[in-house]
Amino acid sequence: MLDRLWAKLSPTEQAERAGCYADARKYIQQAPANGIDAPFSKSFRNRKRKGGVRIDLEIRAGKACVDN
Amino acid sequence: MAHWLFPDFLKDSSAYANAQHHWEALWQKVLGTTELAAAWQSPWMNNPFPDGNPIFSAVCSTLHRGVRIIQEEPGEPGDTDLDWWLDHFGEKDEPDTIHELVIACCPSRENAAQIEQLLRRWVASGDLNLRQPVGEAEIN
Repeated sequence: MLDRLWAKLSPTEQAERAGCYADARKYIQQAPANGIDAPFSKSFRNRKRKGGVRIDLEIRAGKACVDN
Repeated sequence: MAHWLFPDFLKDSSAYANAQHHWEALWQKVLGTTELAAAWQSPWMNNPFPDGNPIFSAVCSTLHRGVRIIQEEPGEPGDTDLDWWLDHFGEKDEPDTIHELVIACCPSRENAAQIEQLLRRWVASGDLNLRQPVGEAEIN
């Protein structure tokens, strides 16, 4: 899903969030094998920019990132 | 030069615990000013790893209002040491969505008063009197 969302961003938006995207992907890959329970929200921000230039991961219900 | 609080919180578990206590104590201080203190619950978010993201969270279902605090290590020159934005946990138009204040910071003696003021305003009124919304469009 993250990759699909990433593809919707403009080149400028992607450039501002390249580090955020890398961190978010790494986090998902390293998530606990039994997944993460809702509610969960994590923001990966560009610390060079003010105002919340970032990528958010949210789990609003149930469980996500469970290993297959 | 900033006087950082708990700069080694990601390397030292006792520093992490002290940082958590710092935020909880600040939160209790802020809640002391509101009549709805008992309606706020903390923690709100699950966080499987002690990575500071978030290090503190709270929610008031009655007000549909939440707080999430992300603590970061002191960064490189040019990095911001305090940023905040407003967001929604859930779809913006759904009735049970939570309007949240997110604060991302390296806590320091210098930015402590500003952080406390943000929390006080948010708890009291749900409005930070921002000249423009700081958040950004969600990508669905």
